[in-house]
Amino acid sequence: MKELLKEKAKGLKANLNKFYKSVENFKLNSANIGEFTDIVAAEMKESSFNKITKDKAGNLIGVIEGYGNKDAVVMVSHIDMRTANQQKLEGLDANGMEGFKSGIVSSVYAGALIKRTLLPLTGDLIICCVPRVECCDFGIQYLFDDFLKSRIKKIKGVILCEPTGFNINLGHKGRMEYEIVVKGRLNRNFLENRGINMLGTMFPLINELEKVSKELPSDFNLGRSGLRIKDVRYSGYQPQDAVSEFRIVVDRVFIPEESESFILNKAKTIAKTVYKQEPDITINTLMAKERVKTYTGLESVSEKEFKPWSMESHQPFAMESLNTLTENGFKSDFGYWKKIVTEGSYTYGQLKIPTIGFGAGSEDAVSSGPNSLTADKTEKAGCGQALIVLRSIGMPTFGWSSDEI
Amino acid sequence: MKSKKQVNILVLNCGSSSLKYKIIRMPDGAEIVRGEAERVGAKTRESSIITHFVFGKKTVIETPLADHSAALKKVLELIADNEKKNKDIRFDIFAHRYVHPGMSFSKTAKVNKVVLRKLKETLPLAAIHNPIIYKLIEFCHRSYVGIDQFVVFDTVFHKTIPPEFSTYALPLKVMKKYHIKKIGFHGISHKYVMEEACKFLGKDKSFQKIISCHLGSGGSSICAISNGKSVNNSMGFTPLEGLMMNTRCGDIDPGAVFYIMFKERFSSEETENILNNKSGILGVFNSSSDLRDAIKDIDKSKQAKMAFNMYVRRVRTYVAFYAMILKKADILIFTDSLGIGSPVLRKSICKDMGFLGINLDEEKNKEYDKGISVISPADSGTKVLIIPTDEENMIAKEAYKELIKNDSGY
Repeated sequence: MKELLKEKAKGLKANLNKFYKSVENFKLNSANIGEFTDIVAAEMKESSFNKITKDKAGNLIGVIEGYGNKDAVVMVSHIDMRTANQQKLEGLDANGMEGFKSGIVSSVYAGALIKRTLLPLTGDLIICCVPRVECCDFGIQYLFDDFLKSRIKKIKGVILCEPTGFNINLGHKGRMEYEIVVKGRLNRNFLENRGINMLGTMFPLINELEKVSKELPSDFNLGRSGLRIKDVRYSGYQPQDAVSEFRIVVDRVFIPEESESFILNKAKTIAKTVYKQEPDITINTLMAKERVKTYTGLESVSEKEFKPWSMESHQPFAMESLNTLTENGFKSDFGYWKKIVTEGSYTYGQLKIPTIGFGAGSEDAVSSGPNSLTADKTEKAGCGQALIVLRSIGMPTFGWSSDEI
Repeated sequence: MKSKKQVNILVLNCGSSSLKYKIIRMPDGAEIVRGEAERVGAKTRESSIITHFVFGKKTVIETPLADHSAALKKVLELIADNEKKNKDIRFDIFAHRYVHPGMSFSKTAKVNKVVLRKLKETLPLAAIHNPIIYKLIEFCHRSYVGIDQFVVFDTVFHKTIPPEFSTYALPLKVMKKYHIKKIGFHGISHKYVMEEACKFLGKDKSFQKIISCHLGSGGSSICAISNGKSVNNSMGFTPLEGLMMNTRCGDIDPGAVFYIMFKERFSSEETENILNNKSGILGVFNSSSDLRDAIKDIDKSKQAKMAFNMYVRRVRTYVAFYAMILKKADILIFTDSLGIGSPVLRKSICKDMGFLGINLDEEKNKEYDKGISVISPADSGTKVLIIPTDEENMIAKEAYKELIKNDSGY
């Protein structure tokens, strides 16, 4: 199989380099994401994908049809829907590999390679580029609620084309954004004993949260949970205001042992403990939400949360994937993402579809700007992804690997 | 001038990275054009080439050939250029060799939508070869509307192998579930040499018992033919069973395979790669996968001698077994590159086989040059023949037969 793929890869080299360059040089932001997906769709067409479609959420879907049954393997790469302002704030280079473009290229290349081998598949290979709003998996949810809805039970596995350093990644911590809202009335001496300086009144809670962040639990594979104060807001600090309020926005990284409700309750308890002396106040904690508007015009409100997930390494899809890689010369092992979140939060965390990650580069590649990855490494990732697909829904060629009979 | 029933057939014979072609005029079987596109699809250091012969005149063209369809397009351009100079160089129909149709087809088929759909269902049976041929048939169907296509199957000749020979001693449930049975290959070649032998000797094939040895520089197989029908073939469910071949091990104790897998921690894919691509002549001789190279080194290299002796031993085993099945063969045929090109190989195979009626005339064997030749003494119980195989010719014959049956317009 390796020889066959290697031979076909040579013939695709020029196409891959051209596609890689056009994607890498594209200055991507939320305003031109449609134009970007058109480039990817054109490459899918060039590679003779059987079906290419976009859904209302802006997911680009390319299908390589298999033979016979309706089993499927789904490959997922993501496109960041960062606004120009967000990019500026986060210091990401708009010309670089933001949104891990290498994953998009490698997944399309894997499909092209499989097409080129002419090896029949037992099921469909579905390659999806999913727009992702920061800290919200709206795109992948829509994909599975719409295009893949009728096929969920027949999906043998999901490959997340994210940076794994050519390892098979099996999970990562969750990430959620929540708010602690403290309300009271100034004319009722709200926080009177701390003065009416809002920052001063917030500080004890911020301080307590900082303390808590140092004592968070840890998971053997995924690492330690984390807590970061992302933002503070306040309103109603004039004497005439009927209600005074402050909000602390927390960015929380968490492990599977911690549930969202547990985290929110714990935050509420901390706030209540801090302000237990204060009469007549209300304390609430709630998951942050984001209003999402895709480039296709679809609007929705989505919670800002990626669930933690961790799949067992003895799961057949994971084991077979690792086996096929090592048999074909990859020095791969099982691993976990420590920093980034992926669509696996939904595919495995929620839907329990066997999910693995495989791609070139390290997690840092996502935000390390241009030239962090090469076309060669992307090609290698595509070959590996093709091998995983062929092991899962390919057909046996035993006894037939000679040119002539 | 062509008579009403004269038809030029463009025969296409695909390998996974090659495309052999011939234009054969039927019914007289005259070869008008032949050629081969090599290194199709693969981008190697050497570029793709087409070697093209028109009435024996050779042209070599270096050109990129991305896939088999591109190769065919280029070949058709060459033929069109030839046609401008000579109106006889043209074709009326396509005929394809199809490797493994499974149980879906029992005779040559004219391509239509139904046949295409049925062919698509056979792709997994030979996952590297069938899709390539299928894609080419589909391409012709789409791009050359109005030109009839016929598909000739390599395995159909072996459909007559009795179940006691075609069934493996495995759980019936497993065999039924995965359609595992001896299929047999090189059917087109075995059938061709059988017909040519009977025609040459003036015998009715319905009353002949024949052993056909298709000994190629790539794959080799032996076929037992009784009364015009295949009754056994050394290849099995795949072309890996049977004789020792250039890089294929042939018959082997499955226990040895499991032992290697266990000891080396090999996967099924890695193991198959060893059995299919690193064994046979290459595995034993080590310097080359071509038996002719081993024959050259036979006096200098123990490994060369061992490879040769092993190869001969395997062929003799099958010849003797098939002679027993047929209760003595009337005809023994040698064909394909090794079967035709190596007198020493034929001599070693036939040595001491007189008790089976197989004798060789050493002079005739040594002096063989070309064409069909009897190389056994006049009084030999079994006639030993050398017959160059011509799969393309057989494909053209089969297609023509089907064409005449279906269409009185020709």
